[in-house]
Amino acid sequence: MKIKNQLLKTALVACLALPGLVIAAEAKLSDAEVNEINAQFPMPSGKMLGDSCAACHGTLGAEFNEGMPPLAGMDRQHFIDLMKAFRQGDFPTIVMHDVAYVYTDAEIEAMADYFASLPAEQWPAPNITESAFLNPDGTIKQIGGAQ
Amino acid sequence: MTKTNRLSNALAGALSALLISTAGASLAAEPKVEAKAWTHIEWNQALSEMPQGDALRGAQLHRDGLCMTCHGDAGVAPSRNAPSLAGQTKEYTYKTLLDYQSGLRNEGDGKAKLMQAATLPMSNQDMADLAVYYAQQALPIRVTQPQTEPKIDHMIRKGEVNRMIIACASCHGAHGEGNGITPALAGQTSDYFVRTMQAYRDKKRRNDIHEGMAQFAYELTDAEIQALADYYAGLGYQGGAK
Amino acid sequence: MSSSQSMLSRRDLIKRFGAAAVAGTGLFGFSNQAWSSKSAHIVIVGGGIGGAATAKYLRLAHGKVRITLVEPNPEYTFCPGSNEVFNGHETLENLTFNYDTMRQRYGVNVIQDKAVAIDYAKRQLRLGSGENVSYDKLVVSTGPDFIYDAVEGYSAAHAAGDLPHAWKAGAQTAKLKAQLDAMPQGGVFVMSSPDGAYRCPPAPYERVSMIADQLSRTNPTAKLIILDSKNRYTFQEHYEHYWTERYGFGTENEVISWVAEKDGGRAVKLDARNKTLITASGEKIKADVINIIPPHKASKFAIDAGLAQGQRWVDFEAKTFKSLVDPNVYVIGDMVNAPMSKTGMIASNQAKVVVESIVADLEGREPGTPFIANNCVAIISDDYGMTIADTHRFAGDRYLVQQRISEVTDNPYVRHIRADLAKNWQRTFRKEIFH
Repeated sequence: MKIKNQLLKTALVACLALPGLVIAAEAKLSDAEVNEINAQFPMPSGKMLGDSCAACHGTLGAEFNEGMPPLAGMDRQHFIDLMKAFRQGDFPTIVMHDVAYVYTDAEIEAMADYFASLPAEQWPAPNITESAFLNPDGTIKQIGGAQ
Repeated sequence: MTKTNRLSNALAGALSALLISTAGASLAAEPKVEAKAWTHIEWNQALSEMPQGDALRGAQLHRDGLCMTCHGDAGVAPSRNAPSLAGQTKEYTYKTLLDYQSGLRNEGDGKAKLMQAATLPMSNQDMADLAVYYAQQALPIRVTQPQTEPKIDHMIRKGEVNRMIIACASCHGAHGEGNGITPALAGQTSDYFVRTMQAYRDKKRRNDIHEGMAQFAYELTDAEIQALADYYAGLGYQGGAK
Repeated sequence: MSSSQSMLSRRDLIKRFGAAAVAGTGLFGFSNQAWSSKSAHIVIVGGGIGGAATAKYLRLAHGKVRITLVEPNPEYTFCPGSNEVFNGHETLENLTFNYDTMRQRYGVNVIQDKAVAIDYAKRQLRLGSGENVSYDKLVVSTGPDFIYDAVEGYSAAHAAGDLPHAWKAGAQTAKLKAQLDAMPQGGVFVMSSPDGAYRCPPAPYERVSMIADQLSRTNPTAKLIILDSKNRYTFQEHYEHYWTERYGFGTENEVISWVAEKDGGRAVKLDARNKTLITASGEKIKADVINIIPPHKASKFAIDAGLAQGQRWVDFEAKTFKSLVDPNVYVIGDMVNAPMSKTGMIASNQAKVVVESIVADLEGREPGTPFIANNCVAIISDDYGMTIADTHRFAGDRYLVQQRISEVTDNPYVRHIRADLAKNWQRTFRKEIFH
């Protein structure tokens, strides 16, 4: 670990508090700090980053029936433009301005590639047997794959 | 009250009968009343009572009310999830907002629920302001008349006698510009158009007066709906809904 | 699953599937993905959010591994959303899922039994029935257990009886709801809110808010008291702001009272017979309904199996979520000692990191860099919600947290839409785990 003490001080305010009782109003790593971390470790893949969005946007971003927009099959450039606008904070959002600010350009682009590669179709409910995500026998396809 | 006497206050309060202030009670969630469908007479009455809209206030509410989050800058939808509102007739927008608020429009999905939450705080004046604001926003790019298969083209311009379908254009306009309570369709998000027509067809959307729209949707196939969606999306702005 | 397979007894299944380490082909609807006898066998302990997400995402990533899920209950009830049972805006039925989709769509062998021990050397999991299941990789996601005696006189027996904590949604939730509904007019509800790390940091305050919402209609003279073992809590500004508006918080007539630890709020003793909680400062608070939320620790299974190494929580290797006790065992969810909130979304995203670790091991490569997000929405009422966004960036031997909490607002649109977003999130998240 060669991360500077300075970085640890700023970022670990929340870490060192009781886990689960993180109350820091805002903990933000500077761009330089993020770059320093990213220089030491490979960037998380588009799939790793993108799958962490699933609780809100559905498995593989394929929730089409809710208020939160689907990401599966989204146009790559459109995803990038929107995320950068959210990150910039110049577009009123419900929560995305508080989410997008942590991602680098390269991370946004990796997520954009991942979501653009997925079928723009609703994640199948249990009673659905015909779906881009399913084999003919109703078992799941390995869409999205490993990292 | 200081924090230090919280406990004693909690104990004292526990012994005395307390009433919630009336101001507080108004915040409580009221049980939802079954929304009543419009008659033409009632709608005409409501329309005659529609407040004079203020587009500047509408623009402010578009941003502060988070409408812009889903419906986009100046009402051009930034995702496939929501309809564009730019260039919509003010009567249609006003009625839609009223119907979401009353629960008359409720397709049963998360989007309808979100719209109900979004419209609950609105006054009729707020709705009129938004309606006028959106009506003033132009769809930014017009393209040439899109091509579609002859059967669909015929349905749009001449209707289809066999299935008693009146020409789409006779109500929605030759350029999909809408007319009064009949919405503009030009440039509409294709996904939204498809979802809406399927909802009419499957009786999930029932806020049209006397089934003014639904009666023509019952016999449409998914393929026809998609072709109509593509046609109307092509009539207007290109590149918005993705 | 074909009918002949569904007729197999659990014992037969273990023999054929796990213990004997002889893989069948075409088991559990996976006829198109012929497993060879060399397919790795991944066994998951715990069918909650972390365990179910591991099974699902493992199958999404890998068609051929054999996956077994060991869970004592036939169904799982989500905690997210369960506070809204208290104001009648949610039902437990709506929050409850069985494992049929896990079996049929994801080809998971679900064994309804309790895991009791791990034989690390033999790589076997012992079940309550006495059977041993062999594994190549074991994922333990058995959640938290409770430190009942933090409040002297409180016990697991009380919780299962007339004093439910209802901190695992299900029968206890229903019982607490019934007690609240039967509370006499003008009655008193007392909650003891824990210190330390517990699942869903804002949930005690959300629960009190849902109860207050319900009582405002059915029992408007009732009184709610939170005895807190801490001095600050997540979304405190939001709760106090709204409670002030609606419940006269901070006035003589407040409906909800919050007593911080420094003001004597810590409940230390229960007098169950007299329905009384006694605080650290010796105050006795008699209530009609008592809800003690005990402090948490790692699950009994994790502790008994030695994974906690004598500690309260289970340590793990940051990059892979491998146990420090044995590299073939992975640990996730509310039982781990992570610098992360104990939430369902965290558990589900830790599961994805574990899946990547396992698949990388099977493929003989270095696992990709983890990234864990947590975006939670809590509500105070139908018309007030708020959000928290955490991300956890991997930095070698630790995770670096970035966090933003939504601002307190009087903008009615923002308040309403955030509240709706909570329901939206809950529905989507349930599908993400069990569909």
